[in-house]
Formats: sequence, C-alpha cells, structure tokens
Amino acid sequence: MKTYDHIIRFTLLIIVAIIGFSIVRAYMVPDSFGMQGSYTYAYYRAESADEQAALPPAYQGTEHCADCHAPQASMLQANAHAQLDCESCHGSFKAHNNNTKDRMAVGDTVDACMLCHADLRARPAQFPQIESFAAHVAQQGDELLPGMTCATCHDPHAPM
Amino acid sequence: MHEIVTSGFLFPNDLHAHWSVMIVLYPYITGLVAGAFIVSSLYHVFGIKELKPVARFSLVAAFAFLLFACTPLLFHLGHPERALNIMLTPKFTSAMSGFGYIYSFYLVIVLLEIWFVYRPEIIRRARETQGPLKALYWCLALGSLNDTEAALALDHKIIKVLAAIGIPAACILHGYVGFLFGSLKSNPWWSSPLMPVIFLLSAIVSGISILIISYWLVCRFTSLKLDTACLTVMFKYLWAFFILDVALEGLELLTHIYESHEEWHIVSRMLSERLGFSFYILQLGICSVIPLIVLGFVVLKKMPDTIRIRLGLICSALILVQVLAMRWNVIVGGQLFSKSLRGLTSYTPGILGREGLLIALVLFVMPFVVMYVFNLILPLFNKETETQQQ
Amino acid sequence: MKHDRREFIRKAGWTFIGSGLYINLFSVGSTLAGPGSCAPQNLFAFIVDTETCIGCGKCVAACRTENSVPADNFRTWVERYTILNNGSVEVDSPHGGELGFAPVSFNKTDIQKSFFVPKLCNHCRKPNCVQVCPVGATYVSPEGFVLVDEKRCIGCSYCMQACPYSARFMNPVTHVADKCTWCYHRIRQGKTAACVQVCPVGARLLGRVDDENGPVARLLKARRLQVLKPETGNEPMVFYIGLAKEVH
Repeated sequence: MKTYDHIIRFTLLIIVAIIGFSIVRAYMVPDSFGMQGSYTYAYYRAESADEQAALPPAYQGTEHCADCHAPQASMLQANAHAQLDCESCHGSFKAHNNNTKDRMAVGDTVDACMLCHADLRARPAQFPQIESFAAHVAQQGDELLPGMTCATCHDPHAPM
Repeated sequence: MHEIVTSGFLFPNDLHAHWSVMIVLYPYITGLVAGAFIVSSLYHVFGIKELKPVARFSLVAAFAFLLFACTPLLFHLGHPERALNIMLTPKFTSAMSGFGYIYSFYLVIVLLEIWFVYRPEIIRRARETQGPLKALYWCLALGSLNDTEAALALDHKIIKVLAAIGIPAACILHGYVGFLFGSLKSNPWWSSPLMPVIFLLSAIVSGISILIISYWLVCRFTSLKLDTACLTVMFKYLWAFFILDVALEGLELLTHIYESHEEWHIVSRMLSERLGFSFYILQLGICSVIPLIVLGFVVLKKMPDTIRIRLGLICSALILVQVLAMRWNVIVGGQLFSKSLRGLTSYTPGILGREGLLIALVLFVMPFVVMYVFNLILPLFNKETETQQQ
Repeated sequence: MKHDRREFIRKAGWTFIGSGLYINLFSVGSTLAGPGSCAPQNLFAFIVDTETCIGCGKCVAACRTENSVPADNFRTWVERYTILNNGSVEVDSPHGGELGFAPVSFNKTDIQKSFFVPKLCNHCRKPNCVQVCPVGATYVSPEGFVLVDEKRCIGCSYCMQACPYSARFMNPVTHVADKCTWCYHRIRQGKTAACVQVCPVGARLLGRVDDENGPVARLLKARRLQVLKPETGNEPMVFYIGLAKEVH
C-alpha cells in the first residue's frame, strides 16, 4: 500500500466530477450562446433577439386602417387631430382582426375626450383644454341638453 | 399577504421588495460558514491549542451550514430549475456569477479537510464494525484503509494546506456576498466599499457566536465536559472581531451622515421610519453596546468561571441577533425606499408560503439536523481520544 | 463544417475550470478596456418632450396591450410633477398615469409650475443591469436595445436592484425579469414603438441616430437634451427635452 494511495482515489473522484460536469455543460448550453460582441454587454443566446423580433405587433398604424377606412383616415390626417393615430383612440388593431370583426367604436362619451382635453395645470398652456363639459357648453353660449356629448358639435375626425 | 404601507412618491415598479427574507437568510448562513471555518483554521493553521475541543466540530458546522447556504436562493428564484445556469453560462462581470464556482470550490475544500481530519477515525471504524456499517465506513474511506504513519503524516500536512487555502476562500466567499450589495451603484444604502469588509467581519463574529452557543448546549445536554479554556479563547476572539465589526459599521453610518449626499435624506427617513427598531435599537443599540462592554469584562476581568461563561453566552446570543438584524437592515432596508428618492414602501415577510418565515426557520434548523446525523456516523467531539492523548 | 468542429471541440474539451478560465481571459480584456470600448452600436435613441406631454396615459395603455404587461407592472409610466411656490415638490403617478390624471388639489396660486414626465427603459449604452446579470440572460442587442432572454433568466432580481430607474419588474406570469424593449419586435418589423405611435402630441420619438434626415437625429443636433441620473455613468439613450432638476 502506497503512502499516497488514498490521495490518488479522491483525486480521481474529483476528476470524474469535473468531467461529468463538463459533459452536462456541453449538452445544456444552447448552441447560439456566447459572446456576440462585448463580453460585458453581449454574452447571450443569439437566437433570443430573433425570437423577440418575431413577436406579432398589436398596433398597426393608420396606414393599415386606411386600407378599409380611407375616408376617415384622410379626414383625420387633414384636420386638427392629424397627429393622432386611429389606434390612439380606437385601441389596438389586434382587437379588430379578421376573425372577430369586433367593432372598435370609441364610446361616444365626454370622458374619452377629457382624457386629453381636461384642464390640468401640468398640461402645456397652449394645448386646448376645458374646465368641464358643462362649463364649455355654457361658454359657447349653447344650452346643455340631455344626451349631448362632445361629438354633438365636434366630429372627432375633424374637430375644428 | 400583508398590506404594503407606502408614503411619498414611489416609482410604480418599486412597490415590492424583490429580495425577501430568503435573501436575508442567505448571507446569514453563509456568514456562519465563514465564521465557523475561521475558528477551525485558528486551530489547524495558527495553532491555537485551546480550540482543540471544537476544532472538528467547527469544521463540520461550517460544512453543514455550507450545505444549506444556497437553499434560500432556490426558494427565492423565479426559476429555481434554471439555477444551474449560473454555472453553465456564468458571466463574470456579475458579482453574483462567481457564486456557483466559489461555492463549489469552497465545498470541496471543506469536504476534503473533513475527510482528512476524520480519516483515522473512519479507518478505525471500518476495521472494528461489521455488516452494513463496515460497508459504509469502507465507502467513506474510499476503499483505502491506509493509516500507516507516513500516510497520516502526509494527511496532517495536507490538512494544514487545505485549512490555509480555506481561509482566503472563506474570506472571498463572504467578502463577495458583501460585494454583491456594495457594488450596486444604483442603491445609496448598499453602494459602499466598506460593505464586503463589514459582511466579512460580521460573518466571523456570527460564526464564533453560534459555535460558542452550540458547544455549550451540547455540553449542557450530553456527558461532554465543557472546556472553559476553550470557551474563554473563543470569547477573546469574538470580542476582538466584534470591536472591528462595530467600528466599521459605525464608520460607515458616520460617513453617510456626514457626507449627506442627495440620497441621504430618503435613506435616513427610511432608517428612522421603517427600521427604527431593528437598526437603531437592535443593531446599533442593545446588541452592539452590551456585548462590546460585557465581553470586555469577560475577557479582561477576573471572575468565577460560571459567571464568565454565562455573560459570554448572553453576549454571543446578542451578537447573533445583531448580525441577523444587520443583514435585515442592509438587504430589506435597501429596498424600502424608491429609486425616485421620494417615497418609502414596506415589507413584512409572510409566515407560510415559498418565501415565508416558516421555510426560513426550517432552512436555518436543517444544518443542525445535518450535524446531528453526522454525529451518528462520526463523532463531532472525540471524548476518548482526547483524554487518551492528554 | 466549421460548426461541427466547434461543436466537437466544445463537447470534448471543456472542463469547468477550463471554461471559467477561458471566459475569464476574454472578460478581463473587455472589462479592463472599459465597457464602452467594444459596446454594441447604439443605433437608436428615444426622445421625450416633457414640454408637450399632456399626460393622457395612452402610451401606458398601448404599451400594456402591445406587450401584455401584467396589471400593476409598468414598462412605461407617466409622472406628474407639481412644484409649489414654497419649494416643495409633489409627484404622483396614479396607475402609472394609464387612466389619465385628475386635477391637483393645490391652490392655483400656490403652484409655481407643473409638468408631466414619461418614463421608460433608458436602453443605456453601459447598462449596469446587463453588467450584473449572472447568467447572460439580459444583453444589448446588435442594434443597442437592452433585452431579456426569458428562456435563460433565472429570476434572481439582481438586474432590478441594479437599474437606477426602476424600469424593470418581476413578471408575475413568466417569473422572469421584464422591461421595456423599445418595442424591439416592432422596430425589427419596420414599425415604430406602440407608445410613440399612439402619442397624440408627438411627445415621444424613437429613431435612428445615424439617419440624418430623421426627426431623432435632427433633434439630437438642434436641441440641448438631458438624461436621467447621468451620474450613474450608464449613459442613457432616452433624451429629455425640458427636464427639470426635480426629476430623478
């Protein structure tokens, strides 16, 4: 029996563990994982970026809406709300795809308009704001009638 | 779910403390490892002979705590099944990524040291026992019943080397835990170069304290005779390290207060409104001041042994609480103020649940269960041989 | 062929110490040279105009729909600052601003100024959220977008602690780190970010910095812009028009 017999045994044990781990590691690390540039900022699974790039967008933009709703789209773009997108008020196109044909009408309410046009101190002063719907109607010298909304006087696609 | 109490303006994603009581427990247990290992090294490397009665025990305690050091993390991770990623694709620019490798390296060192320390014992039992027990000891000896004088002399040298490697490894293991917090520039309560040093010193004092208390408890409830000289030496080291620990903690706080950076107003509000008890009263007050003074008397003044031991034990218990409070105040405290620097949130750990107090308690008790089982196979304290040698 | 050989070498030879050393050797080079030296190109920048934002919250709502952001978590949000004459600063962001804002209760005469500040991930040039990820699950894409690989993320929350802007959150559905991607998928598909598309006042712009005729490059040239928390050294790529000192 050699003096270092037991030391050889544990050394072998450690070597086996290291080799075992290396094999596990080789099989468990995805192929595209590695440095795609700087180690600090770009050490990752390259496929991840492409996977994310393939996610389906929900919002499609006014041009897409104009394929079917050209009159409204062109009216929108020619008037005071030109900076708005259809989906700014109507919500995402995803809720209106070919399968569901769900309608995307904006509830014809004062609240929908007041989200942007309520008078807030934090808003830029030149931005059109009204203190309240009733006050605005009174200011215009009109009578406040039941069922009246902003759309009674303003077409949201061409408000002014 | 406990209700979250907020005040001021928080960034909307800052409502919840992401790092729960599990992340408080993790550095606490890791600290006990480092501390216990340092005690065993004081005997094996630095030749502090008085520590012989706890030399083996401290080594096994370090091992038992080490086994459970990373279990709190598994309970905390969003995807514990991917935990191995930290070793498969580690990115070493992250303070956290070193953990897998440093931990494994350290575990191997401690295991090997235990093996070499216990080898004569294992071999003796492999020869004396019969049946399945014999097989067990034979396996533990890796099938090599080599206890020639030359082999044992070689073992002795290796133990010394391992213990010597173990000291920096223990310091790195725990210093790195402090670095994990200290290196985050986004958090004014964590970001400090003192953090690793404070974590290391508090680790050492907590490790010594838990050994003192465990050793005393074992002697109290078994036939083992308490070695007063050994306890006295441990009190001495405990006091020395604790002075450094508290001094550094105090210096860090003083620097914060004196510099009064932009962020200090919210951190100080967090400390007084949210951590008034655990920081000012526990960590800085009762649990620091009393042990500092009383341990001084215990170490320096003449008194009957029974009183010395009683006082020392009380101080050790207080220090264990102090270190736990420190972990809590650092980790939870760092998450109680929003990065908006304008608001505070709150955190109360649940009792049940994956990251609740119950599991935390179980995880903390498990190392003691491991020590108990270990003791059934190999003795933590060797009564016969020690009396024979003397 | 080349791939096969690499595969063979990898599977045959890597010991864990070896791989650690291998990676370390590479990492030392890149970290010592300074993170910026071989950082990916930051081709895009985001510009937020706090002087035109009206705080309608449509960006927050659109982001939630586009990216399936769970309730109570935010990839983007809008803050309102109200600075009073006595110097005190009041900030609020109810529901991240998603449902708009109600009028403040202060006396009009007590208010010195008030404004909205939209927030989102800054897609920093030197993002320390990426630096601290222990498993390479968050990274800077070749275009300079900071992204999360939700198949590799272990959910340790370290990146959330590291982000000075609290732009990240733990997704309660996927249990991984989640954050604004500047709508990376939409950009790659030739669209702009959802929040940019729906903003009724054009307070948000996302575009290439090297496209000289593009609005972003023009603004970068023409205006003096600020970033949030520049002292972190993260070099954010979201630039603000009219950012007040009160904003963190």
